[in-house]
Amino acid sequence: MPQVEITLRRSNTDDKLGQSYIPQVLKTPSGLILVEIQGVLHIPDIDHDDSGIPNVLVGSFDVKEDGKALLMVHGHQRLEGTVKKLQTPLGILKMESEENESNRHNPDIGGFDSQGRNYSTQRIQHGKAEIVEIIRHKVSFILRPEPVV
Amino acid sequence: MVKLSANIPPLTPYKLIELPPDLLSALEATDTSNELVIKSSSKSGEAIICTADKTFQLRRINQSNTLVLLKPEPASREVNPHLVAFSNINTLLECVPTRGVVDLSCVPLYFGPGSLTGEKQPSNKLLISLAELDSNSPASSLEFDTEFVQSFGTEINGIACLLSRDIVFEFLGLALTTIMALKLNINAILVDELYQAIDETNEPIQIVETIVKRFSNNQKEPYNLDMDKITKWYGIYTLMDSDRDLYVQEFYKRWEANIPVPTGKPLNYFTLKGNYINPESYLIRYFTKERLSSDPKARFAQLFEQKSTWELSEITPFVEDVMHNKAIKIESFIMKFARKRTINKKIIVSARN
Repeated sequence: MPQVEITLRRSNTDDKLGQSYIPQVLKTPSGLILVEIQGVLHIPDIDHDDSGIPNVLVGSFDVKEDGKALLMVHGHQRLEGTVKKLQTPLGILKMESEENESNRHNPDIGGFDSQGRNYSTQRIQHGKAEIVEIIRHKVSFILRPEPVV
Repeated sequence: MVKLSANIPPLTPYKLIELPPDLLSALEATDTSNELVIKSSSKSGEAIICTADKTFQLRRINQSNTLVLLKPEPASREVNPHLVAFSNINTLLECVPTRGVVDLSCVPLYFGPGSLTGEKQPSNKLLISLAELDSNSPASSLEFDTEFVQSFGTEINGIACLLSRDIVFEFLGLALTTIMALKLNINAILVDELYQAIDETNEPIQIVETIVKRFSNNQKEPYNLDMDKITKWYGIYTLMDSDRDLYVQEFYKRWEANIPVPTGKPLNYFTLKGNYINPESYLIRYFTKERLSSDPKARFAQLFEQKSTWELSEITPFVEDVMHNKAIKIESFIMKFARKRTINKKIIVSARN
């Protein structure tokens, strides 16, 4: 029986990024932002870089203190959006990947030890997951993109 | 304008989960013991998420819009900001409040020393630890503990088990007579002290602890034993002990004889609601809803098979649990499936013919 324990990542607020370029309500301790777009964000299919270095330029993003937002994609599509408060806050849940599950128990059936205790407790598989951020606002671009002329 | 780039791997380790107020407050509480747990029910295969005391069903909601997570590029500066899209998400996990389910039908019964070995238990019983039973139960810790304690659950030699009725009868009797003989304070019972005084060292201390917890109004030492709960248990025990209808007077005699100490209150079988039926006003028999249908129509049919007319207060405990719309009155609910008349100021329920 797998069981996953979830903890909240407690970011040190001293590390909070300035992010003066986004409105106060969008700011999160980790600097993560949730954006909703209609359809799919098409990105040219190239090798992904594990080092985390951004390798595909998508365009530009702007959001003002009044909540108006603008997304320019590849320089030829323009999306207008707004900052919206989420009815229910969302947790960004990071699941532990299989190979990192160092504490995953062998699902073999256990047995009694000399005191007759701990019978088969080994069968409980513990996984771990972390909520890396709690998001209360999103930037919503739900209108069709307009071509840039 | 902020420069935006993307580095989205095909498989994302991220999921978005809705956090209703109870989940959010449990998560944000500074006490780390309040962590959330995702469990899956082995029977239905559904996943649930639990706080310490509440259970939510996890549902996957597909989104037609794409949710993209952005993070600041670590090396970017305030003057030249740069955001990176790092995850594309099309599903949300919704958390719907539900009731935790604790199924103890596979938990073996403890009859006495040596009774927890495989050959002495029916093959459908599972010999597992308490931790594993808790982990297997799609319910929060509090819901599990409440149900487990209520059913006289304990762990003996590393195996989760329920005390048999006879063991409870024997040890509750011993506990009560010991408490009376030694003039212990019934409102401040210490398990170790009571166990030593009972001096039945063939049995583990968990037996005494489990019984004391089950009849206590609090869940920490010193335990405050509730004589009403104890009296009620003896009443149900007396009902279950007879395989035929008893005259009410005969039942009272047996009930009183079973309780080894004075209760200080007159016995009243109305306190056993939901555990008996009066086939006639002067007769009483053990009866519960456990084996009755969960479908309201079938449930009423089964009840009218037992007897054709019921008083409203008598039938209520047997139908409350199938009344899913809690906003309506019990009388209105009953009238959907049965006939209601008022005779001598008493509300009488009978079958619709």
